[in-house]
Amino acid sequence: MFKAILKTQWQWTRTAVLLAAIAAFTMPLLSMNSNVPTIQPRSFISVMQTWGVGYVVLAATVGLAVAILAWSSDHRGHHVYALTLPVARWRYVLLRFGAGVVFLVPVVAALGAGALLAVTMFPIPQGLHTYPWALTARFGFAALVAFAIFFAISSATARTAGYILGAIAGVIVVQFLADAAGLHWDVVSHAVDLVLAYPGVLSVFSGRWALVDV
Amino acid sequence: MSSLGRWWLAGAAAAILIGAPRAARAQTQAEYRARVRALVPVWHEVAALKRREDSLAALTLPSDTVRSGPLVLLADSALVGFARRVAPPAAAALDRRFGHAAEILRSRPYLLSRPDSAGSPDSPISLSEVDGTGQARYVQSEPPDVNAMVWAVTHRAAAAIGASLGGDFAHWLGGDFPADTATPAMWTGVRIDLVTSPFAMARACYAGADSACALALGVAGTDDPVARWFDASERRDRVRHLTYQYRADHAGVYNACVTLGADTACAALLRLMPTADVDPPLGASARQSLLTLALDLGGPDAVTRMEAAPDDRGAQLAAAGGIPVDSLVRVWRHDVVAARSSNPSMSWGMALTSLLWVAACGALALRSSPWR
Repeated sequence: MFKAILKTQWQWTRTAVLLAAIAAFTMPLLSMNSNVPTIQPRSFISVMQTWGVGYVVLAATVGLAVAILAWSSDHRGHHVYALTLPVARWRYVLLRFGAGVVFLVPVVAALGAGALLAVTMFPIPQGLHTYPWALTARFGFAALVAFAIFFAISSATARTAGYILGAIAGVIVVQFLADAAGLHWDVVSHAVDLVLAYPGVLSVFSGRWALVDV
Repeated sequence: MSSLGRWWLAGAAAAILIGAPRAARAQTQAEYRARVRALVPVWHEVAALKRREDSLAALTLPSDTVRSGPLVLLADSALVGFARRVAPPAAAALDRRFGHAAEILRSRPYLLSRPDSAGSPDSPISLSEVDGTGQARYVQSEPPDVNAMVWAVTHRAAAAIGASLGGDFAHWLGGDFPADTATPAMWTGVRIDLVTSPFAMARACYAGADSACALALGVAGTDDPVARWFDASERRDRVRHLTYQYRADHAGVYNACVTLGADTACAALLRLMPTADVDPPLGASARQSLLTLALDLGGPDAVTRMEAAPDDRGAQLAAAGGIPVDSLVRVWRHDVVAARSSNPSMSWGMALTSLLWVAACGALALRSSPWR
């Protein structure tokens, strides 16, 4: 059963996965190629950290794409295919989720290969260290978290999506009302901290993403 | 064209030819000095006008005063409520950090004002220091946010407290007197400075030599910094970057150093410079981190002890930290090197947290049922 789900889901997802894998492989190489080993090490690190944004965006994008594509066919067919299968809904969801996780593997592996190749090919200034494994692990977990979030949203009903959007709008409305009332509450900043600061749901995306660092 | 018109044109052409400027040329140094000398009286006149203007402004200082501990904030009626929210947390932070040393702030009020008195509540608030004569000197502007202003006030107050330690210490520090305790971000920044420093003494420090750390930070070797802080190539490099005037005044020694590579010439030339102009190999942020560590270790009375210590930066830092300066530098090096562990791209805690969130999202997906 899993094999069949994997096969069909691969057909919808493969283009996105292949494009993401190419981007993941080339990004570490480009980041090292854009640097000059003779420049000041601090500048070298700055360039590396600038590229860190690219890894974050790629991890979020690949998670989003794989999650949305996992459910796109079901949404288009109004879930008739799923209803015709002799499996419980929870098991069907698990199969879709598992297939999606498998499709993240090639992208993460491509990033790991690119990172290892990049640190082998390009020299770095004295005193700095390379983090190809740590970067790959972080990318993998970030892509997994992004996939899980968008998978949950995509598999949910319109009402659930409404709740999520409502919660976001609620924070903004509370901030607006607090400002209007002259209360110095920074609700939005606190909400953002709650999500991005450790152990928030998106905390894996924050912090330093650098292939080369101190 | 009439004859009158022709005569007029001819006259204009003759005037242009006679009055044509000479070929453009650069001004000489003498001319430049003369111009500067001519401008000095104008500068004095403007400065005097500014002083008179400031005196008039001092007469119109707001009368509302907010006191919290040693901290005194002046504000007009529109900002007195804001000042009341700023003063207690700022005073508490200063008391925690500087203890009795913060008492000097009683005679140094800060003024909160809006440049445009009819400005909107969202317009920035100016922070000024009021000196003994009642003159307000603008320092900076902050948005009307209590936390931002608390930060600004505590940092300005820390600078005022640090100034009591004397110019030599301030020059060595090379930056703001630290108002905050050490943070992982600070240690990470210093670690970058240390591992990427081009100076041999800094590299030796990173490699594990505590004595090299003391030299690289400029808390040791102050008797002959030129010889003890730098190696021969670094001395030559520093000489190469001296000002043109300095090089011209000592052309012979300069050439012996740079062209012939004579280290004695390089050292001799650098020793002609005022000692204060020779900066230690490690930068201001590293030195600030050493002081931050000393203040953290020493507690609220650290600055008071520094003020009572002999006028020597090593002794002052030892007094602040309550430990010998060698031990202080050893702890500093340990914290800088350990900062690497706060800078990995991934940690086990982060991995576990991510997996928990993935499981939570998966559980949510299992619960929802779009076809029910």
